Amino acid sequence: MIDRPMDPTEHPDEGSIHAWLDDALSAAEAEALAAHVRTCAECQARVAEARGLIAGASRIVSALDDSPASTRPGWAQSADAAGGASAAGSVSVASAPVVEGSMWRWLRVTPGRAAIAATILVAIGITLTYDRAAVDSTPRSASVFINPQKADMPAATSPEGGASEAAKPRDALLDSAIAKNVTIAQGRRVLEPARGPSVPVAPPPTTTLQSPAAAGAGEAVALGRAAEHAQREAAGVAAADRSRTAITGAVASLPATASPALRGAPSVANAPSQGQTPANDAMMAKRTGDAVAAGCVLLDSPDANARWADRPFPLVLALDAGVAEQPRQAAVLTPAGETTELRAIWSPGAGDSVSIRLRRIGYSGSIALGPESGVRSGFATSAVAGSELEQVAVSPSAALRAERRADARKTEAAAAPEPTPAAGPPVRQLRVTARNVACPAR
Amino acid sequence: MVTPDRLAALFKAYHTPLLRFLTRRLGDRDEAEEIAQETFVRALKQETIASERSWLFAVASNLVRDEARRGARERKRHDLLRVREEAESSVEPEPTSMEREEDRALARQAIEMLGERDRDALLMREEGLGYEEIAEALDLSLASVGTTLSRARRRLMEAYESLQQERSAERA
Repeated sequence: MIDRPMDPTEHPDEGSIHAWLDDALSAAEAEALAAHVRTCAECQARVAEARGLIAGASRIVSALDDSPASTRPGWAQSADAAGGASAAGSVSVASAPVVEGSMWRWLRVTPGRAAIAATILVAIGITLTYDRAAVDSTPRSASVFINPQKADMPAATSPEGGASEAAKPRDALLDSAIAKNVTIAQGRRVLEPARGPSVPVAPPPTTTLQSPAAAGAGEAVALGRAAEHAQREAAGVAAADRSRTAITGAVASLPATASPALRGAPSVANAPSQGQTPANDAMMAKRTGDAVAAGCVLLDSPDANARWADRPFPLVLALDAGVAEQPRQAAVLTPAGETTELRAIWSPGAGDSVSIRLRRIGYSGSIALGPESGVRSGFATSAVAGSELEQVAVSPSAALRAERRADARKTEAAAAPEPTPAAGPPVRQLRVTARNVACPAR
Repeated sequence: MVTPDRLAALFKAYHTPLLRFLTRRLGDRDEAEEIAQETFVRALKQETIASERSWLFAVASNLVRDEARRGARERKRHDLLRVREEAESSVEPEPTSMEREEDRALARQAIEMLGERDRDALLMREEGLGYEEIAEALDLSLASVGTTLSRARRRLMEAYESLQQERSAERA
């Protein structure tokens, strides 16, 4: 590690001290450095300073995370706790000037702050109550405002829906305010009564909870496909395949339950040009020039119970017309051509790869696809994102919402056991394939 | 060729730390996730990978650099699109306290003030990579890793404290 044997009388450089504290020196080097530090007051101070730098830098880096410090790697936390690396444990040096976290970091949620937040909430409630009283003289409890989502949703679609919900009196002013907020929040989404709740619901357990055996088998199949694809690409087979792989293959691979509309769609392979048409070739679009026509891509997954957000595969991406190599908006359809609540952004990347970002209220997710050669292979993830429509509807400011969420998190954290770092990926990774298809009739 | 079984094992072992590294590096979870996935897609095409962890972090680091080199105009357009999309979406940002948000912003500013190599070395070390792995991933000599890390840590602390003082002065 050190360029040359260390002279016990020579002061080690700062890099060597850090390497020592990081336990990156050989035993002989570490012993030589430790021997010097034992007898050198100046170097003891430098070691202490280095410990402080290591701990301080680690804390700054951990502040970049969304997750609390307790989910950081165990070794990093122990390093923080020890104020340095283990290598120095056997050496008696001056106590390190560890850069302590600021006190305010430990006072994020204080009783005082909680009281202020509660006071603001009560004040808002009272204000809204008075406003409402001007329209409707019937007195109601301010607590009604705490759960506007239920009031907004039809009883039949409420998670707790039932006769009792339906029987509750409704508030025109409140409903109007909530509807306005929801409209703003949901943008251009079309709310159709028959589609179910207007707010996101948790996906079925199969999205994230699946038996390891089933998940493993699915992953193995997908990985096998991806490996085969890579082999074929390397062998130059893909180029030949590209000319004959078209919608026919995609439709043939659909399950028997797939939409007749898609199965009956005209095949690109049967088109007069016998090639990729601008209208249908969504995946090859970036090679066709600046202007790119609209087109569709069939996304499928070999994994059991594969879903993207709350929608099972296969799905069809209906890409808007756009410009090559620029992100394009896409609607997500069922193979039968039914519109779903999902939307996506198709972004061509380096090396002919593509990333697809999920746009669905209450979910986050993405799909990464490798280079196109008739069919793209890749991975998909999606997970429920915390939906806070209740708070969106009633909170007057982002700051207050943040305070309330912080309070809620604090409560949950107190009730829940200490989280441990996840052993595996945080969300299930699905293998996906993507093929050009003719757009189903909507 | 990396076998599917091996790739699955790689994914299980390294996806979480790689994603954390990229999120810290980029400050954007979605972008980090895309680059992490691209990294594993590239692993699939490798004949062999000698040092898996350092290879994955090196490829991810290179992808981040490639991304940064893309044209400013394209990035700007993409950002505008993303901002517009996020404005249309009702998905709230990760719930955090204001203090934590401020702390994160300061940390982000401070980390951005580091040189690219120092920053990568520091973030890789924070993910538990050894000196040999960092040297391999960043094409450094083994002997210079300690120097790189010590410089990165010192500059990060100095930048952070400087930013903290500026903020305190603004509040005062």
